[in-house]
This record gives sequence, structure tokens and C-alpha cells, in this order.
Amino acid sequence: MALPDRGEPRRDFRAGDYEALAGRARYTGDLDLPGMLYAAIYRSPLAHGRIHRVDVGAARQAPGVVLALAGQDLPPWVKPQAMFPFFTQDPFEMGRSIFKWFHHHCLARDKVRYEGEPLAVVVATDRYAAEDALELVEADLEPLPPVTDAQRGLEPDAPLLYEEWGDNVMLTFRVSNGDVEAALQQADLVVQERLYSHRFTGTPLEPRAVVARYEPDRALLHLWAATQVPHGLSTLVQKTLDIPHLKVVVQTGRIGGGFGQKWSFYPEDTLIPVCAILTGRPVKWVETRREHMAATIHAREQTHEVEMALRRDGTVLGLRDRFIADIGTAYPQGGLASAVSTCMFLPGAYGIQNFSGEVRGVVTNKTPFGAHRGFGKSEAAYVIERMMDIAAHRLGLDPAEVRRRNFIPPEAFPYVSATGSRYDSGSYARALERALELADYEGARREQERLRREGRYLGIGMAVVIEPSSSTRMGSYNAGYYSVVMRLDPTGRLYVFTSGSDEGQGHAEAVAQLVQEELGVPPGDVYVVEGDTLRCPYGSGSYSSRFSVVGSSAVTLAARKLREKVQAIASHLLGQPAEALEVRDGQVIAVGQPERAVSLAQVAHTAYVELYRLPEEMEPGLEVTYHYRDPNVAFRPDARGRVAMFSSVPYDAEVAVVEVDPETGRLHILKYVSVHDCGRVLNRGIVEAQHLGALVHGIGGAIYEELTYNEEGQLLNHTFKDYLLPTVMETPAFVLDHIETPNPFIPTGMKGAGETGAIGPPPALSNAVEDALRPLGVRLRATPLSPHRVWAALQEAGGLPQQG
Amino acid sequence: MKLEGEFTVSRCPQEVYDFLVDPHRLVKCMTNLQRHEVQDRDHFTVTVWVGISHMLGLMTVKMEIVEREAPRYAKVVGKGTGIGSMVNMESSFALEEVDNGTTRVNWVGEARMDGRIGSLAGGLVEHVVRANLEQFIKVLGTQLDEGSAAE
Repeated sequence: MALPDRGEPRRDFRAGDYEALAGRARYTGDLDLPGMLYAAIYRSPLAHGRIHRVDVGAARQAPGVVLALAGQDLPPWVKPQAMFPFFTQDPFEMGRSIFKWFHHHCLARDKVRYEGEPLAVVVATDRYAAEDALELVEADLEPLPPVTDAQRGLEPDAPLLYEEWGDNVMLTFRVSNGDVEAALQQADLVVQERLYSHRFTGTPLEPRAVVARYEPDRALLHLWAATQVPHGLSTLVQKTLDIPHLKVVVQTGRIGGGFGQKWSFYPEDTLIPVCAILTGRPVKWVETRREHMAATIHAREQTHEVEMALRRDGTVLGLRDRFIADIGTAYPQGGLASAVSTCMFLPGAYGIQNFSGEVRGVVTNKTPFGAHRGFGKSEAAYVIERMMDIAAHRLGLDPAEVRRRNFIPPEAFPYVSATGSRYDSGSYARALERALELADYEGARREQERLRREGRYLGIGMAVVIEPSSSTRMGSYNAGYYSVVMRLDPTGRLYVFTSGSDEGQGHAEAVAQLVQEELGVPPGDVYVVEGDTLRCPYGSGSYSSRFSVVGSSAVTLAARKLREKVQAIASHLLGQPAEALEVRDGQVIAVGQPERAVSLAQVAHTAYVELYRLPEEMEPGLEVTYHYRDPNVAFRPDARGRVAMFSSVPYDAEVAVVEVDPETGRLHILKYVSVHDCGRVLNRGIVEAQHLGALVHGIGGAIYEELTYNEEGQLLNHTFKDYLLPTVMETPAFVLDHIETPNPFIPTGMKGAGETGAIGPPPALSNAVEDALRPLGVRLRATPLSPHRVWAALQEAGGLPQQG
Repeated sequence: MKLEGEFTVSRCPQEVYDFLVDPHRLVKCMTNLQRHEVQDRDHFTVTVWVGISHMLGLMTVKMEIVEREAPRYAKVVGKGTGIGSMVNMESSFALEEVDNGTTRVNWVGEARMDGRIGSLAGGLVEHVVRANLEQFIKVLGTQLDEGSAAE
């Protein structure tokens, strides 16, 4: 599909940024309701334990305390947490998957299964009183041996988290295509490796927050929450609270970052409404950072056993991967879905049709596993991009050359991968060539040679990562559509209500641009409303970079639908055929007759007020609803598990040049190039800001951020003192460029943006560090690349050669 | 975390034993004790001030003398909560007469910290626990010796 040339993308600074920078933005934590109470949560100090008793009697007597509850005190109308993201125990119906479920309550009963699991809640007239009263909660817990390692969890004598399961395997998913066995037999070289991606998480500036108010006369529960899925949350709370005629309204304020962590259904989402219902007063809970680290989802931890079959020339004949995902505790928070995504995108940007993937999701006594920027594709990218480099080295070929030989060529798009995934468009070789050019690859190799002679260790690493966006899954709340209501009011102002929930991406600016293109309404006259289940159409929210794909399409097509009616009314007013009218600059104008025009405001005024000037058969008003259905997905997997879960494939070619200090293991990023393709770029300022943020996020994950547990299952990173985030001091000056291969399946030509940058740095930097230390025989098969790990790998390889 | 050691006091095993299984006397040896309550001869509760790194606050520990084998052996277990943490501990004392009127006390202490304190690096916690335990033993020895001198 040819897209119209829209000229240079704009670089708007988002209006919301001024609010945030000036401290005027209002977050959920800023909400202050009359008579409001404050909740604090008593969390399990144990990773695994049997609950004998949780006594909140003394806490109830503490000054200011209005309510204190433990698991056994929950009223019978509080049901176990509704399932999420899947709503059925057999979400794919066929294919090759096995899922196990456990129905947790919002306060633990019988057992605790991770440090930080909610055991009791105290509600008081202020937060201090609530926190002080937590000290009076008495929990009699019997420690049980914890499972802190997924491999250990698979052993026959491993402690069981859920005894009724008989083992610790929550998920088994398999997908395959072609004949991997034959490929392995015919290969000139089979590369076998074990690769490990470590556990880390997102750290939004605003942690989670929930405020609840209940109106018993109307059975109306009003929630304000920092969530990416307001409608989903409303449905899940409604399903969890068995109150006759209950209606749940959810609103979001500004959301200070989501990164996937606010795409979940947490115990507190139920618990705080329960407190509001029982006290008859509004209740607020705002997560502390310590709580965030232990009780908000973690991600990424996987161990892969990979085999890659190659010809001598570097052509990949087949790929087999069996891996284990450390799911943590089995709360309904989406982690298993991300592990499935890993399995689906292991072939990456390469035309590997002989493929077999199998994931086992193993429960451990750790924080539940969930969505995190990159959602499983990050781990897939790490595996395939590390394997490309390892294979190139084994074959004595340049890593760029091995990639070139295996890329899906531009003419193969739209492309169906070995897992049934549908790739919309792309030009991987072009992106890589541009990145190599910007990095001065040949020059960097020469410099590497020169420095090696001086005993210095320069390395060059590359990765071409895909981050498929706009997910849809059968049997889940990822329903593959986006809804928009658009109203042109009698003064010509345009109100747009969407089913999304902006968590900082800049939806308002993007929507204003899109409707300006279609309706000619100046951006200042557009008001966008999101995150409000009362006013906005039902939908599955914001995640998986889906606004760019299904969201932008819904906005564009709603605007076109509205434009048709505007033109029909204007046609009647101007006495001109509708097809001879164009809409621009707030006017409807007869083509070639600029003097024959009517303003949008006049058309709208007629539609609402001067009904006698409308065509006889026309409905009054200028308001449309559009539900856009993703055209490039498939819901039902086939017998080999193949299915199209994501509808567009943005990608990024990254090249890193690093120098490693072999005495300390510390790496210095000398140059970092990223050439990014997210399809048509609507607003370059927004895209670049998101992409830069993602790259820094990726560097944090590659080098600094790591969640670690001791043998008792105690999390050792509760604060930013022990969970290290990259600052500007650790951030290189990125070299960025974009190429555009428009998505042919949707009207706007866009793919998702803002996630590829988060997944490129772990493989690109790993490849660079191993390249730097290759003369010393260092092998890196795990992240992060923290100095002590690099140093340890160097010692394992024999250390530095002796001087003299 | 497991710690062990021994000390010698100039009292006969029966006197040392009587001291160790008497909650009223035992609590006087505890460092940073804020308050205590003795429920019966086997059960007592102590509230102690805990300060490890930036974590400061009170911890209430329920103690129980679970084994008595006069005059040679006693075992005490404790379970407590506070500061977002939980402690499970077990201490045993084996008494041996080494000379007429002198007793060697071999002690073993095991403690498991979970929650906020448990999340601190093990070495830091062990250092604090060891220091507190050494102080406890020192005071215990002094109390026993003072009791001896008072006679």
C-alpha cells in the first residue's frame, strides 16, 4: 500500500512534559478525597512458609487505626484474584501448551510463597499511624525450604510451591516448523550453548498507587489507579468481588511510567477496594520503593540450551532451543505470556525455517514474573544475537557477514516466520549497513588491532533485534482491537476518547497530529481523554507498543468516518457534491473554488442545533465510534503451536564499541550506534525520546540492574543503593538514525516504538565485551556485564598474561 | 547463621543451670532490652532495640525453654517479628564441670533472619549478631560471677 508523502516528521515537545517538569502534573498519589484513610500492608518476611496465624488484634487497637485485616478476615464476597492476562485455563485451546493455575487471594492464606507477599493490611487516619500499627501485626509463620533457582525447582526432590500440582512447572509451551533434526544432521557445524538472561525489572518514577471509594447505595466502586489497563482492571475487580450489582469505574491520573509493570492485576488492586467497602470511606495506598522492588513484578530470568546448525559459509540451517523461565510465584501477572513470546521470536530477524522451541515456566519463591519493556522478545534477541556472534567466531567469519547471509530479505515481506508470526515489513541489511557505517566499523577494527598491540582491549559488538509489537492472544485480554469515540462539538472543538492509557508516551500529541491530517482541526482544538472507563470506550489499554499500531489506526479511521459526515453536511450546506469537497485548516472547501467554504464549527453547529438545515434522513450530531480490529494477527494456533500473536515488527540495528579494563572488568562504552525502524515516524521528537530512554533502559539491564536472592529466598535489592540504575554518567552519547519501512497492514504505516532500544544492549554489549577479551579466551554466556562478572569470567579464562 | 563458643565460670553446673533456665535472671543478660514479660517458667517475651545499618526499631521475641536436662543441658528457642523482619532462633547450652566449682559452658546459637534485616548482606548481620551475643555471654559470666562473689 502506497502511503502519501507527509513530509518531515514533526518534533513537538509534549505539553505534558511542561506539567511534569514544573511539578504541576497530578498523579494518583496526589489525590486527596474528604475523609480519606490510608493503607499500609504487612508483607511476608519469608520466601516460603506455612501460615499458622496472623493476628491483627493489637494493630486494631493502635491509635488512628480504623481497620486491620488478615487473610482469614476477608469477607466471603472476596474471591480469589481473577485470572490475567488469560481468562481461561486453556487459553489456546489447541496448539502444544499446558498451563497450571493457582487461585490466590489478595491476602495470603495457608502459605506464603515470596518475600513481600501481602499478609495483612492496616488502614488508619494517616499513613504514619498505619505504618506504625504494622509493627503490631503478629505473624506465626513456619519457614519452609524455598526454591530460589528454577533448575533446582525441576529436581524430583525439590520443595513444591503448590503441592496439588505435583511439580513446579506452571507452563509448557512448544512450537516448531520444518525439520530441525535433519538440519542438525546435515550441518557442517552445530553450535551448542547455554545462555542465561538475568532477572531485572522496571523502575517507574511513580510506583503503583490505588485509591478506592465505594458508594453502597449504587453499588458503585470508584478506583483511581496507576494502571496501563483501566478497563481491564475494572473487569478484573468486578470479577473478584462478588457483590450483587457491583459496578466498577476506573480512572487514571498521570502515570509516571509503566514499562509493562502496570499491565497486571495485583493483590492491592483488590485489597484497597475491599478496605474502602468495609470502612465506608475512601482509602489510599501508594507503594514505597522497597515494596516496589519486592512486590511489583520482575522479569527476564531465563536459561536457554540452544543448538544452531550451520553451513560452513555461515548459513543457518536450523535452530533448536529448550529453555526454562523462572516465573516466580504464580500470581496472575502475565509472566508466562512473556515466556511464550520468547519462544515465538527466537529466530529473530533471520529466515530460519527449521526451528523447534520449548519453554518450561518454573515457579520459584520469588516475586511474580510479568511484563517488562521487551516482553520476552528481549531474551529471544539475546539468544539469537549471541548465537550469531558465537557461530561467526567458530566459523572464522565476520559477525556482520553471518548476519547478512541469514537476514529475511526485504522482498520476502510480508513474511511468515517458522513460528507462524507475521512480519509486516523491514530492511534488516540496510539498517545494519547504516549502523556499521555510522560506527566506522572498518576503522574500529583497525583501531582494535592497534590497541591490542598496546595491551588494550577494544571490542566491537553488534545486534539486529526485533521487538514485535501490538500483541493479541486468544483466550486473553490482549484482544487485538482499539476503540475510539470522536466528537466534534458545536464550537468546532474535537474531543477524542480512546481505550488506551498514556503512561508517558505522548498519546495526546500523536492523536492531535493524526486528526489534523484527517480533519484539519488545529492541535490546540483537540482534547484527548484516556484512562477513564466512564467516558472512554471499552478496550484493553496500553501495552505492547499497541497505540502506534491499532491505536493510531483507530484514531485515523474514526477521523475518516467523522469526515464523511462532515462532508455530507457541508455538501448539503454548500450545494456541492461531497466528493468535490476537501477538509483542511478548520474548513470544508470546494476543490478549486476556495470562496465556497464552510467552517468545521459551522458544520458542527448545524449538526447539533440547526437540524432543519440537515438532509432529511441524516441523524443529528457529529460523534462517531470506531473499533479497529488488528488485521495482521491470527488467534488460533495450529497443531505445531504456530500462531501470529503480534502484528508489526519494529527493529533496531545496534553497534557498540567498548574498551574493557581487564584489571577491574569494567567496560567503557566508547560509541553506541542505533539505526531504528518503527515504520512511518509521526513525531520524531516523541520517537527519539522514547528510543533514547529505551537504550538507557537496555544499558541498565545489560550492565547494572540485577535482582538477586540469597539462599533463603530473601531479595537483596530493595533500594536504589543496591539496585543500580544508569545515570547520565554511565550513558554514552548515542548516534541515532532512522529508516522507514511502512507497515503495509494499517492505515498509518506505523509499527510500535520505544521498546527495541531496551533489548539491543544486552546482546550488543555482550558481543562487544567478548570480542574485546577474545585474545584472553574469555567466554561470556550470561548477563549482566557487571565488572565483577566480567572479571570473574576473565579469571576463569586464566586471567591476564604474566608480565615480562 | 550459626555461632558457637564456650566460656568458663566459677560456679558449679547446677548453679549455672539454675541461672540459665530462670527467665527472670536470663533476661537481665540481654543487650538492648526495652521490656520483658515472664509468662511462666518456660515462656517469656522480650522486646529489644535492634539497629543494623539504616534499620532501627523494636523487635518482640517470644522465647521458650524447650529442653531442660539438669544440670547439664538447656535449650531455648525464640521467634520474633519487628522492623518488617522475622527472626527464628535457637540456643543451647551444654554444661561441663571442669574443676571443683568451675563450669565450662559450650553454647551454640542459630538464628535465621527474614524480611528487611534478612535482605542485608549476611556479613553485616552476622557481625551485629555476634557482637550482641558476645555481650550477652560477657554479662552472663559477670552475673554468675557476681552471684558467686555475693555469697
